[in-house]
Amino acid sequence: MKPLNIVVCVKPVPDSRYWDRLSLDPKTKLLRREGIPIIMNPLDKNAIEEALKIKEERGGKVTVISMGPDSTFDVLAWAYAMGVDDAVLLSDRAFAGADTLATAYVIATGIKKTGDVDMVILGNESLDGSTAQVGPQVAEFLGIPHLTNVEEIKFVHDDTVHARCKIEGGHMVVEAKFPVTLAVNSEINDPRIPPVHGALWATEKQSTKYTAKDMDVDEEKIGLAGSPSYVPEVSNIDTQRKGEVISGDPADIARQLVEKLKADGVLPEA
Amino acid sequence: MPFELSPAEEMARKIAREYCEKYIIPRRKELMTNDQDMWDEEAHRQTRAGLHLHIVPREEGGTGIGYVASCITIEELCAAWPDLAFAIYGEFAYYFAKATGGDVYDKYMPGILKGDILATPAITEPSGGSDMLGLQAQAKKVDGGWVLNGRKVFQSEGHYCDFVMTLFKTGDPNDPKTPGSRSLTAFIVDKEFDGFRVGRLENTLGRKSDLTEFIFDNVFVPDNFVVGGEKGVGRGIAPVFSAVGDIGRLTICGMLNGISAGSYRTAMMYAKERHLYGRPISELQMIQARIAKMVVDLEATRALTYRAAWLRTKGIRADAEQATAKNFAEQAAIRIAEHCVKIHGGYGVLEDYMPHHYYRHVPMRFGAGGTEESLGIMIANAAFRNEANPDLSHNSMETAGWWGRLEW
Repeated sequence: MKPLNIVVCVKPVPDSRYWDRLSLDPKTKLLRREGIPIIMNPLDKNAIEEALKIKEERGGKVTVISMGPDSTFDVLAWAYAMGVDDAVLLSDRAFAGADTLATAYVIATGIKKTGDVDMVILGNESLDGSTAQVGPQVAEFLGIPHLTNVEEIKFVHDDTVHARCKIEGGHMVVEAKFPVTLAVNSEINDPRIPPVHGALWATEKQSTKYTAKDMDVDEEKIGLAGSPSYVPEVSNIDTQRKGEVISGDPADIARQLVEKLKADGVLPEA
Repeated sequence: MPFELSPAEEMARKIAREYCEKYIIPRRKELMTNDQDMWDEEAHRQTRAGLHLHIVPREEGGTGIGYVASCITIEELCAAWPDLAFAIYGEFAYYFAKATGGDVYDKYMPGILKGDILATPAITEPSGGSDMLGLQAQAKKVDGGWVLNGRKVFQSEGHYCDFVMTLFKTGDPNDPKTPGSRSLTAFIVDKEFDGFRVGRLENTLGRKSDLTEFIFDNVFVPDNFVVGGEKGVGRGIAPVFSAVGDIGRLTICGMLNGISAGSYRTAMMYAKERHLYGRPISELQMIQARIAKMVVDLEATRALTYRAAWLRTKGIRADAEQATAKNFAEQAAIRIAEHCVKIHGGYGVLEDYMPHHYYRHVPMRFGAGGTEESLGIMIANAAFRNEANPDLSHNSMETAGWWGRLEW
């Protein structure tokens, strides 16, 4: 089978172990992320793992690509530690404030700049945004097919893949020819822990950085200007507990409880 | 001296922590019930993941990042579970193979790099370990090798090891031809050698079936398994004590610091979650005082350990620094683990909670790598030999090398 040129898209997200420190800025409608460590989006580790497995089976090259500030280099270092060949960071102040469409445009432009690609693999969605839109949008910008919620892939021919995609109530198997974009879920594999030599790769391999200028992007399509969607309002959900004592015999208590839960919309009406 | 970890050392910590989060932390409940299966699984998993390779130079197949990365890795493993650090025995295997060289290196090195081979030193006898000249085990010269007879005890995880480096008497310390320590020779003994067997497994304060006894019953050891070869006869102390210092003592520091780091992390998390008087106990000043004391001890013990390890990475012998770090690490660990237990209140002593396990594992490390007393002698000797250099720079410690130098 011919070696494949694979690009994996990764996203820096706030470490979920510190989410208790996250808050919303009511003015900018953005998350306050100061002081929260940045990690690689967990599903992107599955994406890298799948790419590395394919490379081990067929040969080729695995490149990771990400859009973000310079702190994203730490996330790319983890990709190097896992064993990828190359890492590219798309970083420019002009990219800031992008919604999924403007993000996908920049990433797709970055992918084109890396050369011909056989396969683009991404995590199906991110831990923080969870829109699951960037994968399909990247594919559209590249003009190639996309498959989402992929939980297993098999190569049936040299240039054809069978992907099992999870859908509501079951799964469907879809055949696609390269080049193709696959958005994978956590079922697809168990991401490797970087080998100890990864500590060397992570610190010795250099990532490439492209700015807006390097990529020759359409300025109308990037950052805030290129984002057709915006967040009009954000609010914190304030939960308050209330206590209530229900008395009576056990059967009566149960009946009353069910009624109250129905009245509060917790249980469906029969 | 740089007061920061190198990027590679930082990454080594992240990789070790990722390993723990995948394999150890989710299974702590099993470990709490002393599940032997978990130990059997873990015995080679850590070395197959290469966690012992930081002390192996790159040209030999390791990462070559050094002893600080080794200490950090062991620290993370023991923060996850206080004595689940089989990487140590992979490090011993490399150190012994390297020290012996020749056929021994060729035989074991491929397996060591793959992580299939573990080893441990076997020095202490039922009568003790610090008084070298009092050792009883005897080796007799025969054609083509030596025949060993004796017993060695208190080897942690010895039953998982593939070979040992052991110290036997090959002469009489009172004989002018083999005076004092010249009566001792170090041997490599494979577990497959006839007459070598694992004896009793001792239950300890830490867990069951931990410490091992080795029995040498007319074990024939070929000449090429003598550490140092022909010249190594009567010069067994140097390699054995270099190994006990460089690997044994530094990794014990890593284990103790792991207990300290794990206790600290556990206490911090609990202090933020546990509410009293309508607020988290982390807001109570008496709890904050305990946390502050834990931080001071943790920072100090890491600084001493990392410095000793850094010296060793530089190729500088650091016997007294290793001893200093170990003596402090055990005192720090017992204090930090105690704070952790006390912050948890009644839950601190329950078997289902981590503070109990951190606390009870500290004494397991009191004797390992040298008792506080024997290391105290080493530290004092180094200090008095260097009165001209009271600042205790690394040069002072190098000249004080108590156990002699391992020539590689």
